Amino acid sequence: MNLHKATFKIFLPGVLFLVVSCDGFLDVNEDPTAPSEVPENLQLSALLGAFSYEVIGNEPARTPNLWVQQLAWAGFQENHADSYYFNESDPNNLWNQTYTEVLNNANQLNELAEENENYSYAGIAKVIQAWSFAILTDLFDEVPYTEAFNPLPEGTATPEYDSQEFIYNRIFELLQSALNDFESDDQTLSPGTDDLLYGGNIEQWQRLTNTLLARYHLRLSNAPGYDAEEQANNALGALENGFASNEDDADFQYYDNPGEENPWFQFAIDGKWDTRDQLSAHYIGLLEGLDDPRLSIQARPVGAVDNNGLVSGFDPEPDSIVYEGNVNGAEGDGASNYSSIGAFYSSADASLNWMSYAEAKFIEAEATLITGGDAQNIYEEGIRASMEKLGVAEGDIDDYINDPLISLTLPSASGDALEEIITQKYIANFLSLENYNDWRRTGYPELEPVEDPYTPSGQIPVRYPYPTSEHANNADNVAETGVPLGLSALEISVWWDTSN
Amino acid sequence: MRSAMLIKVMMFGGALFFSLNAYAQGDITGTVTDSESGEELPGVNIYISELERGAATGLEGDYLIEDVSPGTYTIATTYVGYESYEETIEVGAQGLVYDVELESSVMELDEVVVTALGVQREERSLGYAVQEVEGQALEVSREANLVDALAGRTAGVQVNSSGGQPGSGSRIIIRGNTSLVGNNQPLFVVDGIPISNASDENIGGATVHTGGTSNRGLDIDPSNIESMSVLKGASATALYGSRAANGAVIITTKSGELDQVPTVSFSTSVGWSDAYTDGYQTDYLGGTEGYFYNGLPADRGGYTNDPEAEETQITQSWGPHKDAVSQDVLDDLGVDQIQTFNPREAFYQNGMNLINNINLSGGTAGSTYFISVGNTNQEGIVPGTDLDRTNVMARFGTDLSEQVHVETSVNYINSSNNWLAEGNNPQAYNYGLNFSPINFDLTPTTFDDGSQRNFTPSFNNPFWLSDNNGFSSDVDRFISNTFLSYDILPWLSVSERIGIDTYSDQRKGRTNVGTRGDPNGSMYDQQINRTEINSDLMINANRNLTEQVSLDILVGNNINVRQFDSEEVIGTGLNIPDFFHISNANAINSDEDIEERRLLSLYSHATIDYMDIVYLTATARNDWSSTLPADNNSYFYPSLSLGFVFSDATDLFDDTFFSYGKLRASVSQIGNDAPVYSLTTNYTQADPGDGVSGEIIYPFAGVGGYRLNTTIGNPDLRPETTTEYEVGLDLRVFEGRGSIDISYYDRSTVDQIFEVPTSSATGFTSRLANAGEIRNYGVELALGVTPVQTQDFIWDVGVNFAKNTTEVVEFAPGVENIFLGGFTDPQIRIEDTEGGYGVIWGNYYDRNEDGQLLIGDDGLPIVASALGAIGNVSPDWTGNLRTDLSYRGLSVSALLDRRQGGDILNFDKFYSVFYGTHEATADRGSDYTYDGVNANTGEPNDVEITRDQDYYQGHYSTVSENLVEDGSFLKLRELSLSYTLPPSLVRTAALQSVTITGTGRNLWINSDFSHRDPEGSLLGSGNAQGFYHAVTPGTRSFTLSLNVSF
Repeated sequence: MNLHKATFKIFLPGVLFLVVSCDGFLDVNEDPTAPSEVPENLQLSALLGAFSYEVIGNEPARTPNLWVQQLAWAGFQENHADSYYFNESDPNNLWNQTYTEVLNNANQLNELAEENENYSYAGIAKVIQAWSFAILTDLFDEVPYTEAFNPLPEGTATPEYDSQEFIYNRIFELLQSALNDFESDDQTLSPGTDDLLYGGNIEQWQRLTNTLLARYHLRLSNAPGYDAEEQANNALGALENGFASNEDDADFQYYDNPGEENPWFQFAIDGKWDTRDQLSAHYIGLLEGLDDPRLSIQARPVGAVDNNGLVSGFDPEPDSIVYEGNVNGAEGDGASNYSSIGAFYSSADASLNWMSYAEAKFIEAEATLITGGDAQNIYEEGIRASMEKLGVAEGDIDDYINDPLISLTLPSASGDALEEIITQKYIANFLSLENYNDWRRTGYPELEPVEDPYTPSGQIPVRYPYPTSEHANNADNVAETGVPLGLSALEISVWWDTSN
Repeated sequence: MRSAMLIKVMMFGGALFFSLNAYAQGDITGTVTDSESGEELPGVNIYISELERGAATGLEGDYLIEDVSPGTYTIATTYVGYESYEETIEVGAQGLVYDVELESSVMELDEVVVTALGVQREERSLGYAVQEVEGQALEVSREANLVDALAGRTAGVQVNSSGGQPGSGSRIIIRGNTSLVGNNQPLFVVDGIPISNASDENIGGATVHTGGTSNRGLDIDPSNIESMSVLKGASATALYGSRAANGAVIITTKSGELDQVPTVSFSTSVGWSDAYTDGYQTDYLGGTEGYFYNGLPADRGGYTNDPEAEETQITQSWGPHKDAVSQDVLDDLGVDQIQTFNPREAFYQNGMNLINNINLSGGTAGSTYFISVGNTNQEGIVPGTDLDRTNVMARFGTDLSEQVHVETSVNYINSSNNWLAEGNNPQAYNYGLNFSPINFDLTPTTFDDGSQRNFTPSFNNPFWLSDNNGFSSDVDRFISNTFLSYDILPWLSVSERIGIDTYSDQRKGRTNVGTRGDPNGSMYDQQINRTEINSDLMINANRNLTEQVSLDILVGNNINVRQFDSEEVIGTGLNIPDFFHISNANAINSDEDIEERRLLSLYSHATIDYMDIVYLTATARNDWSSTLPADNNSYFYPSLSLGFVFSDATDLFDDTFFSYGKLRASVSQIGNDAPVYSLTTNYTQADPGDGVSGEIIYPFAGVGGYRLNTTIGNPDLRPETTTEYEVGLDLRVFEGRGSIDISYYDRSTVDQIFEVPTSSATGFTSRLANAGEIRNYGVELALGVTPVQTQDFIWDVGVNFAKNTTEVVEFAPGVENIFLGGFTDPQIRIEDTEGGYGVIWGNYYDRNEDGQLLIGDDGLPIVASALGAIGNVSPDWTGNLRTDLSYRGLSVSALLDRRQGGDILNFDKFYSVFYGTHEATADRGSDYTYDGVNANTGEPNDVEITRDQDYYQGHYSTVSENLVEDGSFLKLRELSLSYTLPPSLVRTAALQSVTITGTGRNLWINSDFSHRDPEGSLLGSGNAQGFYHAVTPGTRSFTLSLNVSF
């Protein structure tokens, strides 16, 4: 019967299947989509991309620059960070990504590179470690270090927190150790195109490392038990081998391709999320007051961006161009009424500056001021470096520096001079987390809190709250820090911040 | 089988006459009557298989089969509601008078049920609870998704439909959640082989941002199902092993019967469905602070009467009452009144459902066949959404010899589905729809220049989305199964069943240029392949050891291979609008996921039966799994169960109303293996992201990159173990007219494998570990009563009730809770408390020790500084009541379904209150005094507040406690009326039967939930239920069907 033949045809493979040998039958548990080992170069490219996008160009640049009033939110203020509503859930991503996708991988890369004696990779990994820890501790104060990156079963699922002073000491050690690594020239594998920051130029990494050392020495200028002059001298010492020109700037290049675009473009311009993170009235007022030519570079004209993204065909007559920011904490009524972040910083293919020569000059100027030297020229070099980088014409730069109306001559009284330096540093460091650190450390620029603040005392927040993930998964240790749940956490200053 | 048929047969002639009188022809005549009442039965089938012909009885119960040659024949008598009867007869030259008395099968107590591995057993022998659902009931429901058709039909089985789009996933759980984070749904088995009920994720985004996906049980055509057994406890499923630790749904498809005349059955139905659109205010227009805004951009007809707004638009619904618009505004606009719309009624359409099925079944002396072709075509209530499913099935069985029997079935299914994004995303159509002001006409969807027109630049116009965006899935599935058995000795047989379930799902995601939130557009193509191969080799021995004791032993081997593969191509930035080919994308990113797991098992089952009164069953199974460490991949688990028919054990119950009583008791263990690839920590392609919409894709600038996974593998994983105790009682009275079946169970799962969240300062956000214990205990009750039963009239009532408690006994050290779904605040999570599964967590009002609200001096309740439990999504109990009335060919049935308790986190309310569209905001402007005490003085609060825009936006919507609603419901799940034409009438048209059925589903729902039907869940069939946000509302439907067989 035909039916039976058909049945057997279906049936036969089943019988054959049964008699297949069972040797190795169960040996199929290796993930074919995920490698278990990856060489240094493929780890480095991932590490730099993650650090740039998830740390430098992300949360630490967004919220703190609302608080120092370079940016303002042009939507409803209800429960918004611009009015200091910033609770435990807000820094979750930053904390988790920095520890897992950045620091854990930097750790891994460092170990592998040391084992293989590819020290350039080890050095870069250490710089990223030091830098990431600095950002974490500057925002959260105490963070896990000693017991971090040692999970169960050998280690712990709940690492203890270390003090900020302890962490700063580790940062200095890591950066020094990186400088040692960079000295080594006997290695089998050296960074090249995988070094997305400097293309394998280790000398520039060395200069960056020294500039970072200077930044962090100066960070502790007012820290309890630290001497401002000594910190200033340390900074000046490091800067001798620091950035030498704008050519050394740590600029991470992005591209106008989907998935390769600048983080500010993705966050505030292209309309994928929201475009209402725009410039603040305070900041635009500052630049207008100084008649600063950087205004048209750091800000886009009103109308260039609306709530959906870039307005196509936006091409106003020159005399109808307006720059306007929203008052921090005030209800805005949409993106189309304010200036968005300038294209130099926020076009799809804009580079993201991690650290600049201009900042190095302002660090040098402040340190010189502290040690009693003449900072005027250094200060002017800082302004010039910033303007040159932004493409301001030489003549305009000279006019700006020499304009008696603006009076960029540093006054003799050191307090006022510091204000001048930090104010110019604040403009040069547009969108950098350093603005928030400098404001907390020096009190400049002077800022008024928003109209209806959420912080209990009404002051500008001076730290981040610990994330919900730590309250959920490391509750005992986070409780040890004494930082409470709720918005009152935002008013507890970090260790080095003695002025708030 | 115990059979007490009473047969009266009058025979003439004998076997020898056969050859001698071959030329003679006689008639077979007789009457068929009911054995109890003696009534004549009309419409009974009488069939002689050797002749392949027969007859049916007339109104007097008489029949005539003409011109039968003398000989030996097999004559079969079949009638619905009665035991079939078959007998060998000798027909002489004069023919034969053959009368039959049929015994009604309604009272039958020794039912045979399908248990694990497709083994049929008498229900009385089981030591655990099994509940059967007739295929007929599933078919009548006319639900496209089999899982939905099961809703409200059993005790302890909870079904939750995730929403009203065609093809939307439905979740089924039996006896609560057993696993903390793993799959909690039962195993689906079709004709003895496990099939996939997976919900393959949408790569278009996280579930919370795109909505759930279909469960693949959707592919099974309810029309092809003969019956379903729901195996609830671990004892029932122990032979299936780990995959059935959450129970099993055993599906038996239809087949032909031996000696059945070829029968063609045809059914067709047409259905209409329509959405529940409750929950929105219909009085207040767009605007803010009472000013009227129409929502459009200033240069495109935008209008605002707020003197300070200049030309800026506000897109909320805090404008004036529609009947209190100022004359200035009306004059400005040159109208008498502002035209209003109901956005939801404008958008949702009537859904349409067409189901057609035709099948042919029959059999000869040794073979059976069943061939079916069916199509289900569903057009959803959301424009542009549909489901089109075609099922082709063939099933054959034949005896190759006296000893060898073979059966095979082949199913081909094509399911194609189009749906729209739901969820927490401005690209979900629900945003543009549910927050739309009533003064805004959603059409036209574009301005003259072709750009999208909507009341807000933030959300998309739902009609525009329906025209431009969406997801599609096209599944080709093949399920095949072959069973071969060989009876070596009368008491010893060996059998092999091998099956394959394989499907490919071609998916596409379309986001057109001009979409708010993705202005440059994007697309993806995805090819999913999932295959499962399963083989069972079984040896079965069944012997009477003594006159009283018999032994039934089964020893088997199982080989199971499951493979999953998904290839994905994602294109971002489209050059040509409305052209969704990957070549049109500016950037292309591709990926592939692969999973494979294998399982080898040996199992055994032994039942000792003492006088059909005591049944003792033991099972044992040992698994070797590919997903566990190689040196520790073997695990063993036993079960023991007892069935004791105490009513037959003594004479006490003789001659009483008490006709049957059985006690059940069992204890069992089930082991479970680990997820694939969970032993090591590997690298993955780098994917920096900002946690919301931004991302960097590697290779970046032509350079590849890899990072470590954020979950750390564990090379020391052990199998999970589930232990369950169950006792039950099955009582039947008045010859089975009344029945009570009650079960109590207590199930614990220890060493649960899951991703334990850790401090990310360890370098990892989670680690896989054996951690945690979860316990479920509860009661299930099934009652049945047949208050009236006469020849013509039957009334049946059935009630099911179940109460389950889930207790999270402990977590691993360091784990305080487990996130299931939602956001940081609010969320749905697991807490290590009694009833800790599905806790709704968020901010809440402070209360004093007496539970009174603490009120601030401003009259508003004070919000606690910490987050806490504000609800629980698990129901307190579930129950249903079914009643069937039939009178001759007419039958009416109703199914009421009840869920008591089970909160809903209505996150839609967060937005719709803020935007002023939620019905709660219709009392805007009214004064209110909170019932509570002043936080400072302790005195009763007497400060009156005004519930205005500021209150709703700045206070009410920001407190998650206000978003928790009671999910209790009482539903008229089904109401059906069917009429079967009288056989006498039908026969004149050469038909066997004709039935017309009208079925209403969810025609009435009583609940306190804002949107009436609380069954929606954004997170699909996942573990986080009760999260209602931007999902398609439930529907009510009516279907008219016609079944004809000939």
